[in-house]
Amino acid sequence: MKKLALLLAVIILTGCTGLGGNTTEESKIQPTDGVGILEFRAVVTKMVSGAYNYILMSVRNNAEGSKATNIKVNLENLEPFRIYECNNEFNPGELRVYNCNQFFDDVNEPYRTHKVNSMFPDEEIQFFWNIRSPNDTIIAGMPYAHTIYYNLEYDYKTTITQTIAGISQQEYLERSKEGPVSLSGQTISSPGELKLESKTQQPIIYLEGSTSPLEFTLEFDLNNKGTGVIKPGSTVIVAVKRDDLTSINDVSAANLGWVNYDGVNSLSISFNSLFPETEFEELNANARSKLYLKSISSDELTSGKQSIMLPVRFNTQNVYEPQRILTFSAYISYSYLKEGSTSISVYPTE
Amino acid sequence: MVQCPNCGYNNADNSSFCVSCGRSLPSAPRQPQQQQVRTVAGNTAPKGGGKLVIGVILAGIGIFFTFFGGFWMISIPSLILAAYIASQSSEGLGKELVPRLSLAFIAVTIGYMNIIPENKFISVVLLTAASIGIIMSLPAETIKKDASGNVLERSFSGVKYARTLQVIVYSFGLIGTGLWTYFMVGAVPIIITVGAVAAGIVWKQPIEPGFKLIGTIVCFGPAIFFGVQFIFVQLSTSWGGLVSQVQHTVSEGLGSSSSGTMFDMILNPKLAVQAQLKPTTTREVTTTNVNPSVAFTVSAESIPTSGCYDSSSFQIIGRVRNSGTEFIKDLKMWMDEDLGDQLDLTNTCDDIIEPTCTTVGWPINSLPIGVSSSKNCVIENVIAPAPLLTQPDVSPTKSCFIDVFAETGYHSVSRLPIEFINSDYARQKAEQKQLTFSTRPATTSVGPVEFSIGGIEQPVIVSDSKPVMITTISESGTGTVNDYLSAYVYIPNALLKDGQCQSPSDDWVCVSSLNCDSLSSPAKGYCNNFKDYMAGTIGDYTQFGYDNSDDLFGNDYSLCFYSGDLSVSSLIITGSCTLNVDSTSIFGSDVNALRKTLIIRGDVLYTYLVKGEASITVQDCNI
Repeated sequence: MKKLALLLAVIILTGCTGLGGNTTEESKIQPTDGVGILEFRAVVTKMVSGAYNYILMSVRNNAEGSKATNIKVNLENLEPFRIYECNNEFNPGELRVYNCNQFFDDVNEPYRTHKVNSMFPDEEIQFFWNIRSPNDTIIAGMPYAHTIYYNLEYDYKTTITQTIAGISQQEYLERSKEGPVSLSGQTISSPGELKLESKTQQPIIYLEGSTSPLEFTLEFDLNNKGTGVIKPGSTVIVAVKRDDLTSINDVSAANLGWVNYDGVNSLSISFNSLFPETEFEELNANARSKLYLKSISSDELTSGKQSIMLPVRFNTQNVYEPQRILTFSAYISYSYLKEGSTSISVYPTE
Repeated sequence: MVQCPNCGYNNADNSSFCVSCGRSLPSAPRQPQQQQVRTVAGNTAPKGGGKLVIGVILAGIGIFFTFFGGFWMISIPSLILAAYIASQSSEGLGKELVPRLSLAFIAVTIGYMNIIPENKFISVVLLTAASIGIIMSLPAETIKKDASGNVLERSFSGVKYARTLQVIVYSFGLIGTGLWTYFMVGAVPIIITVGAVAAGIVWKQPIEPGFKLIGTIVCFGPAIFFGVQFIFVQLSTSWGGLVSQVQHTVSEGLGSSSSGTMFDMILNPKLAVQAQLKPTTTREVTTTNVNPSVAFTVSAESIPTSGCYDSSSFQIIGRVRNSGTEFIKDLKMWMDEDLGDQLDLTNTCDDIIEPTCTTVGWPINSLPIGVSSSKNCVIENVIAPAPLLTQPDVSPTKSCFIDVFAETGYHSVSRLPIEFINSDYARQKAEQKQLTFSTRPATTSVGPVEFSIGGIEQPVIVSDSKPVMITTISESGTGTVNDYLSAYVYIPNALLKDGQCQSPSDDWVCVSSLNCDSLSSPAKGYCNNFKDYMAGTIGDYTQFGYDNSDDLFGNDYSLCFYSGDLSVSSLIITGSCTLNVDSTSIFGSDVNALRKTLIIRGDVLYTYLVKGEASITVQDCNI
């Protein structure tokens, strides 16, 4: 029985150390990565024709990030190599009708693709393919160098909290006597490829207790800071939650493509499914009512940057403070695509 | 002591008669044997009903995960532990059944492990064996009969519900194994495996041994029948394939070959990679081989170089040297007067060499690398030509060149991989400045004639474009292409529309079946030359064996022949084929593919002639 207990302990410990995270690898994931690629390589880079090899790919969801969904890794340009899976050989583009490895959600995906439905923050997955090199006839009996690409695509969400610094006119004038007034808010972002960078003129200067609201424009640059591209054909959804002291000019906002969250329109429904309350607890019904939504197509972001503006009214009627910080939160949902490559040389057997 | 009833002498205990008077003594009363008490070390703990419970629970976990094949890493250890723990439990049916049931499900789970390609079959065999094992462990029914053979009592040695247990296990053995077999490997093995399990059942029946034997043989009948059929029919007709399969399986099992999937399942690839282990089933090439070249040089000389009409003889020596990297096994050498190179055209050197040296020549079937082979031909005498008009007694001096030729058949090949890219993706990559285009040259094999394919800027954007493939046949060696030159190209069907190049001015005509008669000349001739090459000859030569390239033909490739004249006198022959590139044909059903490579292959067949020359000078020595 002691031996049995010892055996069990060894198995458990081995499992823990073997499958657990390796903290040294985390350093490879940047704050601008939602899901990062730890490695992509062929086990051997020189092989003979008709032989077998492995392509390995390790990905990791950023520990501080959100849950990634619909993670797909596609090998591109794999042919004339073929894939060996379930004891059979397949063309890479052939649809997988049976799954031998039930860790992946692969059925109905091509054999060149592996898919998992979700990855939690700090989760790491290794994908692998067993590939077979082309035969001598195809490579015409001469050494052949081939580049295999990967495409990692996934749906991701980032949250940004932006504070806007406001100062009363009186306070501003007082401080101006001592020199230029420099006051600005902060931006706090969760990991992810898309970032919002504030371009709002700060500080905003208001009249304490004024009954007429101060109108200003909340300006951001939506920036692709990652190494890949927004997935072609996909849509980026940006939601901004206004500060309690602010309101939005609906007509002006609509002219700029913004839609007020009402829980019924299509953008609201999409937002609800992307940001469920179970995952984003702060987004209760009250918070959602303060949201303004905007969709941006991937084409608009091909240059990597898109300017976003939202007309805001600062209701100063009850504000009698020399300084006031306004807090805006942004929720961004996007589909991202990263590409990389590795090379394999195939040599004829004869 | 035993006292004698006659004389009263005390005799020893074991005495049968009195040593004093000789009277028989009564046997000594036997003392009761002392009871021996043995203490068995170990195993003194209360008998383990608890172990059986643990075993059953673990077996349950293992069986549960068996039905989720990817979790074999959980189910197999659980079942092994279940088998071990249950086997340590108290005596009883559970001690036998739980381990055997666990083994049965281990066998089932093996079907999900990619250990070797035939794993499913092995799983079935193991499941069958385990089922038979379970059946054999059941309590046997005993029958008591009287002298006339009437059955007095049937019993199971006190085991409760034994009959019910038998029915359950028999059902599992027959139905379970049969169904599993059917879904795993098909209908024929079901007959074999059910027969095997039935044999186990027969063996447990309370019947006479002779009947048991007959029943067992009958049950194993299907296995015997199909086994014999397999050995004598399939084995004999596909011996080569079987040997190959065996080699494949063995090599995978040993990890000594370039194929297999054993390692990745024994070691989690992640752990293997972390441990810097490489799967031994992948073989890395450590040396980069160069393309082999067949090349030879030819030289000639005359001994002596000058002589007299009607009296001198000349020995013309021709040498061919293998200057390439491949063994030459089929070369022909011959000599001839070079009429074109005579110094004095008015004095021909025609017919001064024996016909055996000119028309027949010498075949050379063995010329190792770096080795020279010499042949010679003797010119016995040169007949004096007519005298000069200015000097009626003097025949003019004549100089001749004697050419020495060597020739073989050549096969050169060219390969052009073309990379295609999805148009939307290409636009995005271009906007991000991550896409560059270049015209990549084809890779060509070594040889004096080069067949090159190119002219296509890559990656090719998959839209309704029609890139033009340019083919070039050029000669770069010191010899000449003789009168035999053919060319053909394998083009992926995805790049052709209606099986042909897209422009009427294109120079390549493609066929969907190797029917040369469907082509017009000269493509028809090139097609027939290709057929000759398939049979092993290029011209009259067998230096280059056929490389089974027709494996490509019909397998996503079309075979295209040059439709124009391949003039052997041209140094460069160009051709074109307008390709069809659209998303449907390139990516097919893989609609989300972004990149793909297709390979075009071109072959050229020709005979190549290398010449050396010797000169002789003959004069009138009777002046």
